Amino acid sequence: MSQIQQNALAQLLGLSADEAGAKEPETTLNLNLPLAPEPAETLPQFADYAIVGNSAAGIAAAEAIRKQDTEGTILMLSKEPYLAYGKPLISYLIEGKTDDAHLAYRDASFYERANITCAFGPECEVVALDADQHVLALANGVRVQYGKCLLAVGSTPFVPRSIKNWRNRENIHTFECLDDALAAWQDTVAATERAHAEGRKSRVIVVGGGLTGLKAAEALSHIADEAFVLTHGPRIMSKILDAQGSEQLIELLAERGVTVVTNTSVDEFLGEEGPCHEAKLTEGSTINFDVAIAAVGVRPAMGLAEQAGAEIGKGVVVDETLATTLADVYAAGDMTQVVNAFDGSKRPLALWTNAVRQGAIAGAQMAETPNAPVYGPDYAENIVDFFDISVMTCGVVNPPEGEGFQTIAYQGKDSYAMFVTKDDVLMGYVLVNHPERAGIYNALIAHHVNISELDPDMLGRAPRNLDFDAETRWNRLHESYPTALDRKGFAREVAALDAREEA
Amino acid sequence: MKRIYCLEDWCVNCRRCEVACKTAHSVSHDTVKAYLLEGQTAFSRIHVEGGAELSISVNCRHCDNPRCVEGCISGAMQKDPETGVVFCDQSRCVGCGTCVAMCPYGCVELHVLPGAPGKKGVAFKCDMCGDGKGSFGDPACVAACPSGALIYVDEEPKPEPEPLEEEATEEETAEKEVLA
Ligand SMILES: Cc1cc2nc3c(=O)[nH]c(=O)nc-3n(C[C@H](O)[C@H](O)[C@H](O)COP(=O)(O)OP(=O)(O)OC[C@H]3O[C@@H](n4cnc5c(N)ncnc54)[C@H](O)[C@@H]3O)c2cc1C
Repeated sequence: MSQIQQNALAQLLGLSADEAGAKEPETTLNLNLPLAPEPAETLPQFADYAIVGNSAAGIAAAEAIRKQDTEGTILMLSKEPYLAYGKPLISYLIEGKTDDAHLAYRDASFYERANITCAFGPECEVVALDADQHVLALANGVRVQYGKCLLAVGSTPFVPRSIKNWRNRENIHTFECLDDALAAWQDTVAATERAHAEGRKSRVIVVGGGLTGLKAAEALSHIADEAFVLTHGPRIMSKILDAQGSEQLIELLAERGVTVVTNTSVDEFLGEEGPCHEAKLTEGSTINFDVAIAAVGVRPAMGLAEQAGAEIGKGVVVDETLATTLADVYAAGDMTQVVNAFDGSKRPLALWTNAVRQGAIAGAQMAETPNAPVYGPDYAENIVDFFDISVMTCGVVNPPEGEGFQTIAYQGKDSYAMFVTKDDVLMGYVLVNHPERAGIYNALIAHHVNISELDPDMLGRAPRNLDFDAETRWNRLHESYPTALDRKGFAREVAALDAREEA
Repeated sequence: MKRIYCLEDWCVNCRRCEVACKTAHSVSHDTVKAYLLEGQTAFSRIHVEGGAELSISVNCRHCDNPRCVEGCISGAMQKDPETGVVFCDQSRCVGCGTCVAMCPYGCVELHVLPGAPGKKGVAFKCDMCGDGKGSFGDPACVAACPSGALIYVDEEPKPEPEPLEEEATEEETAEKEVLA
């Protein structure tokens, strides 16, 4: 165990002599949430397009449908009562980096302008899909027939059975949606007030060292006096960070008040029901806490599709038009199975960007847009910030041994950059506090550019557009350049210009 | 839409575009004040790469399919459906940096404004010198370019899209009446 790891564990077990003054919780939740209007008394019995899910993929699909089809009726269903909000924003809300007035993903008139009928709220949860009859059954007993249906229901938190007694405990929360975040926030504020009244510090523990867990810890560390993240493996965000990147991030988080304890998880939350304030760790000791977040992982929400008989893999199986194996049923976002562009493996790609891209393609396909785009093998582009730390990772970050991958790393004081190449083609990167023009790297990866032909220093500093050769540079930077002009800006053919002006 | 292009044969690395951009995006609209007093808040959104031998001025391409918009988790980054201008509503930006890593040209930057909660950065990018909400203005960089390297011209026209019918609102009211 490294020194950092040992210190983190010692701190969690109360063995360290850290006596810093307790924080005063300042937050009182008095929010004006972006609530959707009540669903109409009578929902339409038929919609040309039924979109289940009012988030990244669902909204993108609705927008794409409307680009092509302004007439077809769209019914959007969500089990949450809110207007679409940026799901990743829930931690920023707690931290004060955004507020209730800015949570909505689209302005308030979006649904009206796009002529979308909304049915949002727990009673509008879709509980069954009958693909033969083209019918959706809602929790309130309403049945809606559709022409085409998009499932965009995201993912659901998943807690392995190895962690005992976490369910139905008042102070153990998941961190997947706005209501989860509000509950965790409220609870942490109250617990911190109680702890201070008792003259002690309040403590939040997060089980799970993935993106969601770390975001929860970051957010709640602004309220609780102590925030710990427990992760059973040696690394945090292990799918998208390499070992050194993880180490670097753990250090930076520690300096900002979030302590990561690696190789340690919760074995059991003590007691059976009611609030729980003690947990037994996998390494044997028992610890106290005020609030716990279960953020061990998410699974694609496949229930509806699976019950309806759709083909299921690591997510719902879709073709390049995002159609499922059920007639007129499409799926997009976190719930789908994506073929990895680098190794052909199949798994979900639970990212906002990916959900938007898939949703837009699904919508265009559903509306039978001419030359609609298709979806092919893809890969993760993960961008996230914690406090003032920027973390970007893309493509292959933990290359398998012996397959010809090479890595090159640059370690700075508070920054880290690591690139993975194969046959002189950039395949992936990890960038901690190294954001400048990073998108140029993504472009190199997306277009399989042979970097040996570029400036050899370009990985060691911020990349530039000038790193590309003259021809590529021109093509990249001159989308829709008028054909009438040459590359010096002179009229190519005066005749051509005249003809265009006449038209 | 009208677009700004840089013709690198004419770019002389004078960086007047950067100065003009920063000035145009300052409160004072005065170059000296923009540099001396507004250094923390006024930022150029155009950048000259290179040196005396070869240089090129790069700003947002206002892409047809902007990846920054696709990736934006808050909905702050938008492409105006009418004008095509890509802009960031900074009041909604949470500073996650997704747009920075999505832009293939490196044309979005985060800057931390004084007093920002949690030292959060917000995205800055070219707004075509319009109102910052999707309208066109008179790009200051083009006006300031002494060598004709920055041009502001109509893009190559795209093939006509399918004609759209404008009956949506009528239908919507009809449907509402039925529901009521
Ligand atoms: C805390 C947190 C931070 C994150 N940070 C980032 C980040 O920084 N970058 C990033 O790229 N990704 C991030 N993600 C992941 C990102 O939020 C998801 O990839 C994205 O939301 C997926 O969009 P989606 O449309 O597929 O599904 P979701 O956003 O999960 O939306 C699902 C929708 O379906 C509705 N629904 C579900 N079941 C039903 C049903 N049976 N009936 C009716 N409606 C239903 C829900 O109410 C919701 O409207 C984060 C996630 C979390 C939880």
